Amino acid sequence: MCILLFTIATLTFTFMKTIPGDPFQDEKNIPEECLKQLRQNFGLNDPLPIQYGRYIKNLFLFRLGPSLKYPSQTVNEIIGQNFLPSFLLGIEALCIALPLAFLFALLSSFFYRRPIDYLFKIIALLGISMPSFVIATLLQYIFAYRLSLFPIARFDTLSHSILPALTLAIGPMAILLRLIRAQILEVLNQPYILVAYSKGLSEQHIIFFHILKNVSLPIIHYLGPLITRILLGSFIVEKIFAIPGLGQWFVNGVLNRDYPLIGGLTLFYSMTLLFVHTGIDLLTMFLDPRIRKSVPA
Amino acid sequence: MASEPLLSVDKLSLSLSKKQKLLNEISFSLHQNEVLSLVGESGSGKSLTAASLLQLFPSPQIIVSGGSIHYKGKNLVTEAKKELREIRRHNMGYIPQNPMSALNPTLSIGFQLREVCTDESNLSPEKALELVSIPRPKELLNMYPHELSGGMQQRVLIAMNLLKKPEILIADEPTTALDVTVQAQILHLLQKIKNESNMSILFITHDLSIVNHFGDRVLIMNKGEIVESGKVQEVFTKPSHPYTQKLLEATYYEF
Amino acid sequence: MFRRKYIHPEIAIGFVLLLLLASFAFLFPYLSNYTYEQTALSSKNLTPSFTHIFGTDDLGRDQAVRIAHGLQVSLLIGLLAAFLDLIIGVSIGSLSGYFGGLVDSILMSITELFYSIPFLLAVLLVVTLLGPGVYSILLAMCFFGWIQMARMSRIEVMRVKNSDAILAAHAIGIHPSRIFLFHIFPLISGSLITLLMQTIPHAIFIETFLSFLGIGIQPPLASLGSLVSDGLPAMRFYPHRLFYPSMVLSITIFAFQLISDGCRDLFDQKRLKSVEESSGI
Repeated sequence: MCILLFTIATLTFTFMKTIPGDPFQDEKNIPEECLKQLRQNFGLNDPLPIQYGRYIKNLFLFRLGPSLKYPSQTVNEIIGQNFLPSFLLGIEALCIALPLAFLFALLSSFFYRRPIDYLFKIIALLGISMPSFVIATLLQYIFAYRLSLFPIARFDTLSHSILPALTLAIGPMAILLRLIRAQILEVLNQPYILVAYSKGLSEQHIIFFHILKNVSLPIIHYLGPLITRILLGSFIVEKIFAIPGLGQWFVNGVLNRDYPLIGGLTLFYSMTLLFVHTGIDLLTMFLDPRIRKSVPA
Repeated sequence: MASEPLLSVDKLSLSLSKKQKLLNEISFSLHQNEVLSLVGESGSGKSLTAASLLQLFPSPQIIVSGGSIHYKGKNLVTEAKKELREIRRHNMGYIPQNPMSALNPTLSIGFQLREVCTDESNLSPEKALELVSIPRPKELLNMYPHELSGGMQQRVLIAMNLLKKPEILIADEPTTALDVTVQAQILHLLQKIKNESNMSILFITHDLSIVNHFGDRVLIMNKGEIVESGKVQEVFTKPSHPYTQKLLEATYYEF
Repeated sequence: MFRRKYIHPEIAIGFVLLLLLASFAFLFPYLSNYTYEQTALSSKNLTPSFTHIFGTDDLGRDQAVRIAHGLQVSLLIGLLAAFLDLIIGVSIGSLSGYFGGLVDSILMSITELFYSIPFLLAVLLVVTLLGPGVYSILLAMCFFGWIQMARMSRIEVMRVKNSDAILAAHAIGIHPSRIFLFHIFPLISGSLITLLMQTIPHAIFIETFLSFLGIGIQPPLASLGSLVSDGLPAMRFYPHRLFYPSMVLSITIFAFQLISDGCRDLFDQKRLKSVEESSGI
């Protein structure tokens, strides 16, 4: 895991330095001497190995340096102040996507090949076909503008968060729906389900203990990429709904070529994802008796 | 042996969405304390017959297109789901073919055994495991299916059925997936249980030697139909249907 | 594999949709009286009518032609990126799977490394650094997009490598390179086609995402993404500028997804027994 982080950091550094020109090239009104002084201050004239060493040291200490566009703030501060809305939005999206996906998948597989199944299949297909910005704009137009049910943008109250969370949730929900449904159908074909029915157990008991338990394990495994998707999907959603979260900062950093900001945020995202993936791996290990038993106590 | 059959199947037909006929007017009866062997090759409809008794079909597209199954004064084909569930819970037992995939890999053995316990059984899961000759049953209760061997898994499944004391035990090729020595042990066990509890067994197999050893009566199935039935000795020495004759010729044992 | 008595409905519908969309994208500009860059400030923001099927934007440009052009761009980039991914990924993956050993280990570590970097993030970064434009998008997508193809082809080749058919071919004495091309590839082509049908809409999605953010296709060239992005601020007053590009985009991706679903059913038929078959035993 550390090797991975190290490599990502190095790659980011290499990328930033290989591009000709430096962050100050767009400034037209600054006289030449000032530019030279700025470059000196930011250490851009030092030999590369020294810059690299400094970069790694700073990363280690988690000092991500000042943003270029907003020099009064360090990237650390930017992350700290704006991380909360994105995080909340992500959690909300997960809370919508997971239960709905499970519910729809259960209904879909129990009414296999009957109208409800086909309905959900189409919903799922639409969900994965429409890019998030299409869904976002549609939702905005229909529910916020036309029907005035929800506010259009910003992030001040709970009802502000519903549309963006919904947008973020639909794509992953559709994917999950298909996955869970396929998994349920596979589990239903297993002999132990037949045995469970032959024991005369109630439908609810079978659904919960036999079907869901076996379905959940591979699904948890997919949770990692799912969270990745939600995290990155927030870029567009935050832009459209004008939510003051990290995603918006990332997009603006990208548009402004604010390299420290981009680098720092990339690192932050990568680290978060790595933690999430590792956490999920541990969770799977804990829940699946087959894996749990093979790990020596 | 009582002359009144415990369960009788009357002209049962099964079809796949009204197109393909899977079972064609099957009729047979099962008496108390007898072992009825169901013999046939792959695709003959043996497992579907067993499924019909339980009314648990692998696909919702398989429907009963005719006939009836009479048990305890009820017609299983038309019974309500709740009634069927009660029957499965108390009166019928099922042992599947492949023991590994017949146990839920995410639940402990103890849990899966306790699922069966009905109020009338005075057996504890531990006692049941002892009855099927499993050493150290207490330890086994906390273990998971993948930690057991095939023979042990099959014993656990038999123990599950002991716990409910069914009148009818449906064994779907219970020994096919096991080694020969283990096969013998399992058969021995089944014999013991049958003698001790007056159970009737519907024993599905494609192995004629087992039938010869273990069965009282036999049904020969081919392509969804019962082509011959009768006492094992009679059928094996004087087969009347050509298919039975072919089957017997194809085995190397002498009866 | 192709001896089916009927064509899978999903594939048929998807294909027809694509055909319709492609004809719209490539033929419509010739039939229309307008070009995509032709401005006419007197006819700003018109709602859809007979002369302007999809209306006009705030510079008086005909939306229909712009959408057609945008679709061209999106389709071409998507297809090109996906095919490049295919070529690179399959080469690396199948060689890795076929030879195994050290080659496999090295290539696998590289793939694992790339795999852990979120695709979107990586593409975003690369395009940022290279500057916007068609070529940077293509480069960025191909640089990171071959991974899935490589993984899939590696697994497939390993699965097929030891199958009886291939062993028989070896036994007869056919040259390994011939075996590779004419025996192994046909066996794995099913899964590859299915994956390709997934990769194309993904590539289209990435391209529109980037264009939406403004770092993709640059004006006056239009992509469906940039059209949606232009339509967004005008949503209140001129919703048609938002609606039509979004709809065309969604239908395109939808069509590919349909085909990919159909392909998956089609090629999995060999491996998974259908319920109808297995219920007979």
